[in-house]
Amino acid sequence: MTAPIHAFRTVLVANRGEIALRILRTVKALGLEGAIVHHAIDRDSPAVRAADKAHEIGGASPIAAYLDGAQIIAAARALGAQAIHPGYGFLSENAGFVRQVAQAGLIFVGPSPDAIELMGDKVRARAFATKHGFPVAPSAIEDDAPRTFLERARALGFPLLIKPAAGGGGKGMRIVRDAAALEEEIARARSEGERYFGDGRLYVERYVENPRHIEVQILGDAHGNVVHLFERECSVQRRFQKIIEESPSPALTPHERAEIATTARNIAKAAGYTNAGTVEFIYSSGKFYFLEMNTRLQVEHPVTEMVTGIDLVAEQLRIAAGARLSVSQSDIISSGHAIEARIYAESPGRGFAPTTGRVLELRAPRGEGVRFDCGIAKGQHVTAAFDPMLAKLIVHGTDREQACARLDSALRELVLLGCETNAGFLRRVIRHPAFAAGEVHTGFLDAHPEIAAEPPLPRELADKLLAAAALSTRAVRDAADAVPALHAAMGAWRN
Amino acid sequence: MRRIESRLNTRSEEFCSRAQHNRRLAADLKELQRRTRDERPQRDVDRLRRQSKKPVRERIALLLDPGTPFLELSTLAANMAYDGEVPGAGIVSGIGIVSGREVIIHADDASVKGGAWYPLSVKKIVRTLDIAIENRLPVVHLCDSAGGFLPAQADLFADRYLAGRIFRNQAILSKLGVPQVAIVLGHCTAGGAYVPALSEYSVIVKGTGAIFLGGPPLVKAATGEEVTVDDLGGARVHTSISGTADYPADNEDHAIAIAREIVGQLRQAEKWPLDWATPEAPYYDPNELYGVIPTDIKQQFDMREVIARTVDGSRFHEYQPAYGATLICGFARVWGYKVGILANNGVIFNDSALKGAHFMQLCDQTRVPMLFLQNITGYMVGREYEHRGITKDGAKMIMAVSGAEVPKITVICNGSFGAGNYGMSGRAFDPRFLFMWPQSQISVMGGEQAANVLADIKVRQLARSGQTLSAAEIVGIREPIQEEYRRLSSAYYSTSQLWDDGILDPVDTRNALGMAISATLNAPIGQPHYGVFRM
Amino acid sequence: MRHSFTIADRDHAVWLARAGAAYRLHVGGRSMSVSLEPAADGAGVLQFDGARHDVVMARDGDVTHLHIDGEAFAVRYTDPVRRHAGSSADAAEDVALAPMPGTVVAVNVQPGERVAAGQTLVVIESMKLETSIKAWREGSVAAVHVAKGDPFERSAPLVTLAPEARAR
Repeated sequence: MTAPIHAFRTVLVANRGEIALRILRTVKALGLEGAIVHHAIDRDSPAVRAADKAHEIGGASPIAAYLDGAQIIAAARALGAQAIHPGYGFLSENAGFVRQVAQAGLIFVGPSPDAIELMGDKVRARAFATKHGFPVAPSAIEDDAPRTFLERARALGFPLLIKPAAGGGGKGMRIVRDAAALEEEIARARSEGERYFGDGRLYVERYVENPRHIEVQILGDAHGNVVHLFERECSVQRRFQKIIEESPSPALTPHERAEIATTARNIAKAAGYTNAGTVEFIYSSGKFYFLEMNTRLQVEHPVTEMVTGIDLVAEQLRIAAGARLSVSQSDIISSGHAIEARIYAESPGRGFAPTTGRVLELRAPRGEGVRFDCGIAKGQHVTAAFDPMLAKLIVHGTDREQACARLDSALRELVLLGCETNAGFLRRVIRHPAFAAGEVHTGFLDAHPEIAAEPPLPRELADKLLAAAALSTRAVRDAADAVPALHAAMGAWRN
Repeated sequence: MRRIESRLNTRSEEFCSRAQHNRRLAADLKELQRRTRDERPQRDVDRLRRQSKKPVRERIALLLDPGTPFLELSTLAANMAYDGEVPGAGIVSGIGIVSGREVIIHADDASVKGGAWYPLSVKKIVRTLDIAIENRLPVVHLCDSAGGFLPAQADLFADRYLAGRIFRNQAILSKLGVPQVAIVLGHCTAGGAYVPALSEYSVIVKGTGAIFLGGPPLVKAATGEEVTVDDLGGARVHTSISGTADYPADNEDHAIAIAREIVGQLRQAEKWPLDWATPEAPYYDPNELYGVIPTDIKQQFDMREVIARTVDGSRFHEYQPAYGATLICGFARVWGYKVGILANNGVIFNDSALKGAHFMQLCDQTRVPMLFLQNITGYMVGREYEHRGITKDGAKMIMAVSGAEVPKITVICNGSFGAGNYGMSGRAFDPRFLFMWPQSQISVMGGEQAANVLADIKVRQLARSGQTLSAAEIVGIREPIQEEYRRLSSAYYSTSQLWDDGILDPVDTRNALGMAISATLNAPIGQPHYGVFRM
Repeated sequence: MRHSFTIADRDHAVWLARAGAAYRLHVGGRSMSVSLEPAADGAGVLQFDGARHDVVMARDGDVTHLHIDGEAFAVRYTDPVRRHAGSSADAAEDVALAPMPGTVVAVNVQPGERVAAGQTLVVIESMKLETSIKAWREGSVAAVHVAKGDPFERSAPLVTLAPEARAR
């Protein structure tokens, strides 16, 4: 297998928000030209402003625009781009799109469509892992024998986890604890799978209670080199979505760490994987199972960048250009501790319901070891049209304790006004004794519902807020100023 | 202006016993006020709660700007009438701040006989509206009245200053361009229906508010028509069909919020530009007033000690300090407002009467409101004084006090007897406000003297019919007469009958005056002109 | 009547009063001297009973957004007339409001259509979950305020049912 050596000058970023901005940063740092597509709603976004060239795309909804491969390829041509970086989400794991990109004579910055198809189909991916002797959790796959699917699912025992075969990112996943609810939940999961992925096939897996989510970053080039960049632990989740990620995992012994990283590397090797990917495992009491492989740059990739000092996007572009990896396995050293906290437009106190609003003030936290990947700018509207993640705050410290302290103070320093975020909640998480002790698992937030609950406002703080609001509310000030001086001075006197 | 040098020895036994006595009187006043305001039969409290109506004082508290004063007027009206069963005459009245505007409030108290109007209720409402007219104060009516108290209709309906005067005053206010806002929180029946109808703005609460000339029972009796309260005169009817009321409200709080918004958009009054300086608390503690007032009304005291504990910085510029010494005249400031003070310091002689008439003209000429501090037993009598023209000198005071254009405010600090009441701006002389202190007395002559006269007449009548009375029998006749006379000359009787605008705890006098003076400045002040002074 | 502010769904009744050149804030039975010195670009200093606090503030209509002591808050002022208007009246109970922001997945009814209680009117998607907005009573659809694919904010009107004559 010989990969053609490509070279390109202009890279089109087919994404939006913080990841588009982050990719553009490296593209430009490498001396390349950065182009971007955008829906009208994002016209004034920082990513579009940062790009050298931009092209507007449309669709039935803003999301639909970013999912319209033909339009994006046409835009790439129009903008003179030779490569397309998909970021994460949208078309990043769409093999059909990757093939269209290739057919259009353009380079896709990511793995081959075959690898995407293999790993994108959770069922096939599991079969692949099993075949190669990698550890997987007990499961029932609908496609194996659709008629007996229900029976086989029941036979696994409860609780069960229903997953869409084509899924990812937690979409359409459902935990079933009660046998009676199984059928109905399967129907729901199927409907969601069809809507999100155009594919209603499902599989069911024995749900490991309170496991840790540990994943390993992989890079592979077209010359057969595959390296791992150590693990990230992403156990703090809400509704299967990661909130806090860190590296190294506080759970693993050095031996386990080496074992899990090597397993991941071997899986990627076995799959002939190129470009950046992440092998996800569930880990519980010393054992780990292969969960799935994400064939793209992960949201939480900066954690790995912070501990290894390697620019993953730069490596992706290098790999896509047909070059060799800039590092060998022995060059890759994990140093210190990095933690990422995802800033979401959501209300933890209201069941993490998304929030909306206009960004009225935005001040990034600064300081040593602090990185703020942010896709929004002052004046921008946060709508319900996209994923509610606004930004990522990543910190690095010599050890976990220092990293946590830096994250806490950076979260304090972050000013984002106009749209409620989970920043206060994130601080409660990292200051929680169990988190500080590294005792986390995917059910961490369910086990500690008090973290999500909005704490009662201390009276003095409430008074301060009311003072500031009262003083800056015209009607309130006018009412105070309207009272004649005599009566204001007399106060609430009664005879 | 110079500070008054107080001669009061606050460590003296006299001071302490006076203070103790007067503090008790003040406490008695407060206790009676509390009962008048808050004590209601449980069934009335329950009924209001069932109707989801708030007590009248909660309504007023919501209406007013928080943190601002409320000068309640005639709190104890009717306290000695109707067997004490109509506290406050069923009406709350007072001056306060609503959305930054000085307004006067008339509020029916539905916890008293369903808000029915008694003769003294009518008198209190008329007085409230008279104050509004004289001082150009916007009015907020909180309407919740069952209508006139039928058994007493003869005493509240027909005469010049009875119920019709309420509506006449409303019309006059409107004509003067002084706006009224009515909030209909309960029923406005019969004449009461005109209160919102004659107001520039009216808000009516859905469900509980209703306006009609005749309620459903009356309609049934008159025409046989059966109709519900809501269909006859509810919020929907009047705000969308008849146009009798302007704003429908969902509940009482909503209604009050709407009314506050209405008042907030009224034009801010342009006040008379009275000489004003930054206010300064009195140098002498007003609490010492309790130790100034004697325990016996016949004992004399120096009214300068009262002035010193009422005016800004205790500063007083005394006019003609060496002439007519029984009437103190001079200028001071109260809450920054310049006032001309006339204060009794003994019986009025010819020179004091001339000084008073002269000083009143001076105040009028220089546009300074006048403050009368009464402690007057009357004008000096006797051959010498009649020959010197004490009657015509008293007449000069009456001519001056009646003819003055500047606002007058009267405080009856102790005694108010005989013609002295007139010359010192008694109720009949239209002071904008008249307040009394708790121990003060008001009558045509001093109590003991009058009781003796009355008892003597009785004794003489009996003697004429041949009866001879023992000393004990004479005492037996005199005592009840004296007792009744004391009752009818007390401040409590005066305030029960609305001869005044309320009894003040002496320490509250300064604030009450500040609010009163401020209120008076809403009205223009005419050019000085007088009738003929008998020289 | 005090002013009404809401912080995190909790109502607070306050009054601001002039105190010479500064102000006093009255909350509950307490009062404190307060003032606000705005600096450049949203920053400012809040004086609260003599202590100084750095704040970053932004206004959006009736909402004051405030960053203080390392946390962001939104304080909403509600005009008193609006605040005290009852919910029982004709308006509110005939309209389905969005329980959270999201997008419309499906619209199942048309204006004029009769619906039974419990019938799905629209399906919305929020937090990657679908939620059916169902008729809370029998009635006829007066208006559908959204179309498929539309994003909407929290409390946005979705469907209005025609008012029904209420039993007296």
